[in-house]
Amino acid sequence: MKPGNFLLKRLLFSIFVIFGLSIVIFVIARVVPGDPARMALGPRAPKEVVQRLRQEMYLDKSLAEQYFYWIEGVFSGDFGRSLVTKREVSEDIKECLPATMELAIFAGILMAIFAILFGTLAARYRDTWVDSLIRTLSYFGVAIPAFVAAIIFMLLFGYYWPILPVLGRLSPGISPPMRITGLLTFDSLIQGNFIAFWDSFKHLLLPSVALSLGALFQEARITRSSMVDNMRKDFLSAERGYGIPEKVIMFKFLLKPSLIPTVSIMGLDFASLFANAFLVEMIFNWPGISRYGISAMMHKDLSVISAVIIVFGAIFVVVNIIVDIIVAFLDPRVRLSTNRGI
Amino acid sequence: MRYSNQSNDSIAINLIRPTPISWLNLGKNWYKFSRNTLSIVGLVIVAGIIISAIFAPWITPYPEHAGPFVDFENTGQLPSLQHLCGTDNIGRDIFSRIIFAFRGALVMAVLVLAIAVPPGVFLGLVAGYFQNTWIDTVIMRITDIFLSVPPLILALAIAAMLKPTLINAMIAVTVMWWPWYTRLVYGMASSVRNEYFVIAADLTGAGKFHILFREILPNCLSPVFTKMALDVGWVILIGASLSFVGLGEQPPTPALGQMVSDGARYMPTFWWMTIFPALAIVLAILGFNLLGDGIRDMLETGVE
Amino acid sequence: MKNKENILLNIKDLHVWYKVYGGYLKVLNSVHLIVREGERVGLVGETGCGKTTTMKSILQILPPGDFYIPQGQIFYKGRDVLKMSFKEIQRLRSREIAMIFQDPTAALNPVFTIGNQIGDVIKYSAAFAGGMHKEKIKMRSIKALKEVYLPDPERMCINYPFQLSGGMRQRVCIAMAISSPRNLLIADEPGTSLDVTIQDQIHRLLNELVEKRNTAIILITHSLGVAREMTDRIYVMYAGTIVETATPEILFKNPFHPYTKGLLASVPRISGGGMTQGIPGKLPSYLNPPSGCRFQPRCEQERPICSEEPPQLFEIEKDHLVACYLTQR
Repeated sequence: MKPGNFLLKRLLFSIFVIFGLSIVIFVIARVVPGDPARMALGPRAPKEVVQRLRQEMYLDKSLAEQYFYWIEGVFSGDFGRSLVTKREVSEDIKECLPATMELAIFAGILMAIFAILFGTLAARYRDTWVDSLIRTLSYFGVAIPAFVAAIIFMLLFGYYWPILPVLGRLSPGISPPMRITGLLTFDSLIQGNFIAFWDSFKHLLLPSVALSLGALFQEARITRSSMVDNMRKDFLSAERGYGIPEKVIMFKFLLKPSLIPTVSIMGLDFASLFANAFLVEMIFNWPGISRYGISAMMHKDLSVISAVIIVFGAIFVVVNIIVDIIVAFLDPRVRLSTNRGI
Repeated sequence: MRYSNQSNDSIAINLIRPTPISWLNLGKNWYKFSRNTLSIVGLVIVAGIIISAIFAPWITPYPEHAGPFVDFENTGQLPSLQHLCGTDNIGRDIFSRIIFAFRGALVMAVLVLAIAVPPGVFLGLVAGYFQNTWIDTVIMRITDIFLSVPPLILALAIAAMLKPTLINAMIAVTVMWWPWYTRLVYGMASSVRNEYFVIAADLTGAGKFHILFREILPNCLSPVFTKMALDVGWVILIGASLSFVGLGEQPPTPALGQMVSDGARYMPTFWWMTIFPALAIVLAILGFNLLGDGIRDMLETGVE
Repeated sequence: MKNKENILLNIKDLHVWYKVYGGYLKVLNSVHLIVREGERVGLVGETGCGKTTTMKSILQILPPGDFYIPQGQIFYKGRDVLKMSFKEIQRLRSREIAMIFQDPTAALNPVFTIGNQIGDVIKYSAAFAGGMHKEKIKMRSIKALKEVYLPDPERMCINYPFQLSGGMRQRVCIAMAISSPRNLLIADEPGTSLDVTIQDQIHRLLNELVEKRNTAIILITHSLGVAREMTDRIYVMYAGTIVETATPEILFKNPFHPYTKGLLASVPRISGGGMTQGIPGKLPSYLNPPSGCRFQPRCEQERPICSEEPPQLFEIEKDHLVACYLTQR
């Protein structure tokens, strides 16, 4: 009963947020100087053609009316047409979203595994060389922006040590698997196409690492500090005092409460991965939605920009809800408080 | 009867506003800051960057290279004693350009923070104080909307739609920066406002203004300062990301991200054109991060 | 039948320091404490005088940080805890000694069920005896909860700590401590954070349990009245030192140390007599403790020698030891 209520509230709120977002984006896009129709057709097109396109794009109607037309379209999956690719935006998105999703998911897995691993090690071996090593790595990891890491990888692996591919998702000459989810690694795996799987996996490695680096180490530090905080808590001393072995204390009694802040941050970071992927996508020539959206911004391709931002917003919202569910699972106080306990 | 050793006057003392941050307690604060050598390293790096940026025209070897300058004879020079980081594709000294690029980066960071932080903090204070009223709801929902867009995207969107200049890039970044401070301060303000000393002030007739700024605010400031120090690094990063795709400072004024993206074309042979600006970005972020950590150690008390 | 003459725990000249900015907090300075089998010992002192630190040193659960034991020994059944191997200490914690913490809310892990937590305590105490079946663990948990008079133990096992009231949480902590047979219980101000009637119930519960099983217990309290009722011997602690120890009758009839006298004088009496007198002054700084007797700054009867060397415990009559130079004429 209670968790359902909680979920429902979050859901409603999220929908409200997306709507708010859509309005904001829409207004910004329309307010910006420059005539979209003119920009689509180029400076040479004759006035009548531009005028007709304006009518088609409803640019002559009021702002509110334009918004309604647009929202209508969004609900039926029609985001309009891209001025750059000349295709339906929804088609474009269907193509490039899975690419970014694959990248983000793998980066997310890396983040989850290594952040918790490093954080736990650093906490367990506090003030030893392990801790110092991880802390130093963290400082650098956090300071290296994704695109710098990407460039360095390009340099290292593209030219000096070509053991890992640096461009695109699949090497030329390898036939891609049949498209089921759009995630190359996953699709190839379930179809038993191990060559494609291995190849696409190799392509996935470098961009994911570059993308996840900063967030990974930040999360490791948060894990560590959360663990260290909890280590000082009385219940740990009590549990230790009852004779419960260190291993159990570390991996059960300390880990669970310490993960709570970490998971929240991981969720936020994961959602941001989608958007922040664009630089990495550009450098590694990864055909993802981030790159698509950013080039649309450069070309002032309004329909695409709005659509992409809505998609990002929706992803963000969904991820947040999932994170909330996980946190509720970890922390019973969130789940079950009927009254605000003590 | 509980046997308690607390004398009667100490109870009254608890109601009075707790001692404010002792700025002047430099000795102890320095000790706390300097306990971690890394914080000192951060301080040194940051000081170095700031000083060299301020005095750029006087201390760089080739200050004119940061402007319109072309020297086709010296293009693509390897790093040497004459050109510490080599020269770029039109013969400009990369080292000097990096130092000048720091200028733009720092100016942007300072201005963005100066403009974004006060309203952000103010909104957070107000929302925290009027917790659970409509004021709180409105402010925080708007904040949430801004926060729900991944920061980089929003900055890019705005910057792309406006003309690419430093000012517009700053506007874009400022617009998406303030909500973080609102949320930070909101969390602290809403718990502080329930402390006894605030209630006491309220009861003794203090005005809202006084309560907000003299009672609640000083107790929320420590994490704000820590975050500001860390944020300089992040603004520099976002600035570099924006200039990487051509927004922000336009050539010939050097900008770190732009230098990285320009130089990327000439990899791997002329690797220094990209690597050095990239390292400069890393160094700046690293320095401010370490400094921010040191400030946090200093301001946010442990058990002492 | 346990022999009340056998010494179970013997803390000898324990010093504990804590590293902070500016030096060391010399928290414990020459603590001596003896507990015999089946004996009920009371440790009395004001907040901050080092009682909890002493107890935590016995179990070696001082919070991870910069604790340093420059001197002293803690003998349990003849063996020095400070020199024990890790495995032996585990064994000590899971089968011999159990500690009940002062604040039950902090002492229970908020994200695990009660049943889970008690179950694990039982499980690992049995680990040294070859393990135990899940079923049996569950049974034992419920039995322990019943012994502390918690209603509906089965339901309690699936609850989380925050769903319980303070008194219930304290009982759960006690249940965890007695879930396996122990030789020594340490109860750190049980019920202090709760209201007085519940505190009283907790004390009676402890008393009952201790008598039933003939377990030794160290009862930490800041109330002399409680100590008088519930213990066979009282140790009075001040600023990290034991200043006086005696059986309750002797202590109340014949207090010697100025601090003890001051404590007794501050307890209001029903028979009237006006406002009571506190002891002027406050606890000394641990960073720069007074050389010599730590009570000396507040003592009205001080002598020159009091600031030079800390006094040793001296037996002034049978079963009555005092650490004070006033014992020397």
